[in-house]
Amino acid sequence: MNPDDLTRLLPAPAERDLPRGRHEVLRARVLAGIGADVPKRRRTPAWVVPVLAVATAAVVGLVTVSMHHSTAPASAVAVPVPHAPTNPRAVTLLAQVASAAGKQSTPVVRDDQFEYVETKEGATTGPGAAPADIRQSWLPVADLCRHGLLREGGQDADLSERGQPGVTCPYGGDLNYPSYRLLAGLPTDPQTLLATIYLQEQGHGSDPDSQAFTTIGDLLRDSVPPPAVSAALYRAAALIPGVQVESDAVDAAGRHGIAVSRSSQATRYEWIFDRTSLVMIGEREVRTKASKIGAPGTIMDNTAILAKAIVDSVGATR
Amino acid sequence: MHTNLRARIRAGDQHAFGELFDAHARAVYNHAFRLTGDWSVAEDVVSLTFLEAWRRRERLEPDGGSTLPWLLGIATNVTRNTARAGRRHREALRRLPTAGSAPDFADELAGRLDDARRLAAVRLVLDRLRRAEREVFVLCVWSGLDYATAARALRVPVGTVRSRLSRARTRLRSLAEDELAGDPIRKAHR
Repeated sequence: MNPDDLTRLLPAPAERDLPRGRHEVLRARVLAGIGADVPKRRRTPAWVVPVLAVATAAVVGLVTVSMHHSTAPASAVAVPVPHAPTNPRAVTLLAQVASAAGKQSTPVVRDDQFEYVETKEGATTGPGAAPADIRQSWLPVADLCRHGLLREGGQDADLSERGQPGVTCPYGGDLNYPSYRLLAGLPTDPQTLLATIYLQEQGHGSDPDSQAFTTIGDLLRDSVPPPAVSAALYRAAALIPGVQVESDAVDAAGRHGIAVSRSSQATRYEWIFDRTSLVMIGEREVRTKASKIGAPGTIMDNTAILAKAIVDSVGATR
Repeated sequence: MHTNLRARIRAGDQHAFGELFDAHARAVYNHAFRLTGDWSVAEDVVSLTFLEAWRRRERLEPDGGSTLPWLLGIATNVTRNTARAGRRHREALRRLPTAGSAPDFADELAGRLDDARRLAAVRLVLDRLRRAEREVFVLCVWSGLDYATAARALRVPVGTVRSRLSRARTRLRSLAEDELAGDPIRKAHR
């Protein structure tokens, strides 16, 4: 085996320095995380700590970088991540949204049906800006090894999980790619639900709170959870530190609404709701700081939710 | 010198750990990029790697050379568990072209890989390796670790490193040959 041979086949990308200032920021974050002389703040609701301390001990065989440990410093890693304080109006709005979602009637769903979601994607204003595109997905209700379909920009792609690494059929999915049945089985107590999300997402994303907000947003946007679960997801989101209200936000279809937002690093993530029905109509990511990517206000991602339904077959929209 | 730093880190010396960060953050950052193809994920991996390294500091062998292979091994593990959440990401990966795009890679073989398009072409090929093969490829070929060091970093037998690298080479070869003998080059277009 001659590595030079392989280097010719696939040359290494040029090395880069960390972006200006990031070395210092990451260094400070790491040193704070190991308990060097940086004040620590409690960032998570108090109830998360005992739940995760117990649950973490049960996770075996994973690399766990625990952000929520409350035990000895040797294993404790608390990473202070600055965020704006929670706005009480956001908590109120999320309570109202949850209440409206919870009042929807719960559909009777068969295992052979599909979750149908239609969205309009774009148009972004950042680099690689793409025109708006219609995206339709049909996901099997119970077994993701069955054939679903993703139709985007006029192109069809099969969505079967069969043969993917780590998948045993039948497959109900995971929190990042859930079947309807998996969603329906989630706890509906908001605190328990949020603890489940923190635990399952441990080690992902830039910090646990941002990751939880992103995960919940993905679930609300791309799935059709039963009403009780939707309501619980909104109530769980209200427990994440740093949620805010934006009085006006525009989705990818040009519809205005009121938004719940949360900022992480240089991006503000907005969930947009119809002012009257309080139904989620879209989602938007807005750059909050100037960078190479763009000026503050640059739209990084924008979605409008056009339709959601449980349907009988792939291709059906109602 | 190295041994001294190892001893200080094992003893929980935070100042020494700061030195370790200064010495190796850049290498970990580039390693994480090579594994993930995403510079911002690579930043996340840098912090997570050093936090995990601190947690495991007592398991750092007291004697040895550079601590970098140890860090790269941890970074490799951390990278496996670090991915943006969401269906979108998963589906995007699923839809990566399975044919017709790698000609771009063959095209670029002669050149230096320093712009976004070339990086993307390399990514496409690298993403077709199995994860275990990709990890060994990046550690041994791009980061220049010898087999024994890579084996220790990944905690697998040396023979496993050798066989994974051999499979990676076979697969890369066949990808490249396919492209050279294949259809006219199709460029992705929007």
